[in-house]
Amino acid sequence: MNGCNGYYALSDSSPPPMPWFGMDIGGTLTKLVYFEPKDLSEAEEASEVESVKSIRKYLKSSSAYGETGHRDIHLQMDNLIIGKRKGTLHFIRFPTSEMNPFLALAKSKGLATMASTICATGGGAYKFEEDFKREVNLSLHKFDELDSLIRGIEYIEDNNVDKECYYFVNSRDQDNCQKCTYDFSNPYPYLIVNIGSGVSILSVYGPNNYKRVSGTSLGGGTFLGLCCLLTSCQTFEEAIELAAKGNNHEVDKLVKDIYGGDYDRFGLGGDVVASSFGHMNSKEKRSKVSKEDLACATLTTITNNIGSIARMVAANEKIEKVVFVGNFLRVNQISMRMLSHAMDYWSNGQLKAIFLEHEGYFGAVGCLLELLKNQEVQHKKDI
Amino acid sequence: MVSCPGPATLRMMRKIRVSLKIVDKLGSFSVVLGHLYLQEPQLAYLLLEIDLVEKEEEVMSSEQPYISSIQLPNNGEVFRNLKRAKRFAIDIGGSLTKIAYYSTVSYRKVSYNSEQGTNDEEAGDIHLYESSELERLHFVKFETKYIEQCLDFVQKHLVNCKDSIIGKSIKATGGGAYKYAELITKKLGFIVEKEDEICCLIKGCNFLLRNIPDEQFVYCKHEDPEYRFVNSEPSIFPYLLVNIGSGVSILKVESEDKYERIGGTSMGGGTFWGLGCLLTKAKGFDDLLQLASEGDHRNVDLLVKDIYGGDYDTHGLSGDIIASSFGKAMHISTGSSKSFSEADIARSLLFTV
Repeated sequence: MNGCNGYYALSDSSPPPMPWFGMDIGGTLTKLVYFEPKDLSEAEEASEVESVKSIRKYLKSSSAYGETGHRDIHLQMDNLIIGKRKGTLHFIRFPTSEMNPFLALAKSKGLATMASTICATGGGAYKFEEDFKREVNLSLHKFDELDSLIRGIEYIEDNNVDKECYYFVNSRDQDNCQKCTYDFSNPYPYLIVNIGSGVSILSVYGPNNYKRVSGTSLGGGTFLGLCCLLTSCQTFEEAIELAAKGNNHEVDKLVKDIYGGDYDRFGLGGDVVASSFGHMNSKEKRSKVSKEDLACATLTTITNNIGSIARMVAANEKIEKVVFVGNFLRVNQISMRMLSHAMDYWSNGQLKAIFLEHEGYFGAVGCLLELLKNQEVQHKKDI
Repeated sequence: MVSCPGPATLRMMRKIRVSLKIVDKLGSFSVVLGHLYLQEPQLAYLLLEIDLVEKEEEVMSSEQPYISSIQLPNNGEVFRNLKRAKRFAIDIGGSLTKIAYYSTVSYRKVSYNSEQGTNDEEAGDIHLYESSELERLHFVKFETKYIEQCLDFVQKHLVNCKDSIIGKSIKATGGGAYKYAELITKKLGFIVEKEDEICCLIKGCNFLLRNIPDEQFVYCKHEDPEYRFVNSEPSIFPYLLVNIGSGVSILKVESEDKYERIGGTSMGGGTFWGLGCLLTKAKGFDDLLQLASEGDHRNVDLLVKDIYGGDYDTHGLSGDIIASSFGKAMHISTGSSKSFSEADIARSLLFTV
């Protein structure tokens, strides 16, 4: 089934050798998607190479790998047909800074002897190309991260119908805020705001028809970096937890702090933030705020900035549906609600903020699909 | 030592309008205008417009804690010519309060005897001083939190010359015009006429753009000189005005009366100042700027080349572009020694805002 000389060309009509992975090596996190075949015939099972089996066992044995690897079990998708095979898609992530331990692990599981194929996207696909070749004898098939992103979104949406897209109602109201599913069957045109370490904003006009229209360097990486400096927290989860407990009103200067009330002439209510961290130049005020307040202010600033840019781009592009993805939104309902509110409020209800369950994994999925592209095409012809 | 020729001689020379940027060791600068007169083949005279100020002025001593955070270009002499002030206007913003007032300045002008030949006069043979009066616009700024002390000072020094002030009201704008109106009336006895800040901003901008030569300039990092003055021909409209104060307002100005606030952001000067105070030991805004000028942001920010190992050609993003501001700052807590300094943080912060 797989030879030792195994360079697999994508133009080959036979399927690539197992295991099938899609990998998105981003600035902060690496996202891995693993396809576990469930339709192995007895003959196949017998001839399966030991290392492929051991990899499968290892990945399924737990949801935590080492100290920093995680498998998001709640995102697992069963009964998918990819590349003419039926199986389950697993979603795994680990920090890109742990790439070397990952390569060592892969080597120890025998990946180097299998000469299988991994498709990779994200900047790291270029940056770590040499390391992959050297450590595990793998050439990475590289795909553009934004192409993969779009491909991944459209595939998952098609296969997780009625469950993938959602939005919030009453986002401002803590007690009555509700998550509702959204029907994305007629998507075009829509805006994608991908919030990773940094932000990319894409306009999607039709299948395979998109353009990167804008972006900003103030993204998840900025939030985490600033939080670590301001509060000495160690992880993203910790930062979010701190933010959830804090209040930004003591840190940020609001319109009412400057005007004594609303600024009616231009419709700016007294509670709108006029200057983020605007109170922090005062020693007295600095001594009164807590770590939680600082974390909350950082989250608010970054989120509102992204929302503001997204809104302006949507107005320019004349698009009403804004889809927010990326791992910044993982376990971060605060930002999701803030974005929902901002889109709605500043556009007077014209714009809608939409979110997807698989958050930051679309690039990796798109990559996997690219690997099996020929199989997919073949499969569609067979039906 | 070369002597300066008389005005008649100068008038015959070729002249070029120049602007000089005078930078002090803290990086604050003033731009002074003048003319360079060229006397072929090798000589040139530089005449600068520096105004003369009466020395008998009251000086606000630096021991008083009125201005501590923002450095003013002329040390000590803050409220010049206050005794002859004719009209006041005040803009009380989120962090800073700006006062503009106009008063008269005595001006000593050199007058030459135009009958004498120009070539046989010696330099320094100045015959007459002419005294004249000029109206000048003065600008002062200080932190809004010291507004009460400032009003006290102004009130003390206006006591003798209240008659020179035209009218019984003072125009005020900015949020503070609403917040501090009562205080101003109580201290200075003027009625406060509140004006909308955006309207004033645009009126002021239009006035300066139209009437002051060399008001607007373009900055080109790689050119020499970096500053290039431009003029708006034939009309100054339409233009986009981005007002960066504590926060930011973006305005579209189409004509004298037609303008719209089209957007804004809460990430402005206040954010830079506030976060700067939290993240560094800088003692003030100017200190922060100085720190930023010494740092290297690449130790703190994640660049495209840190993610891609080079340029991201597909979408035209060069390797040196910042992909994620402060993207490297999260690694400080992994126990490894910090690989960036306060100066690096300050610079990164400046770029972020």
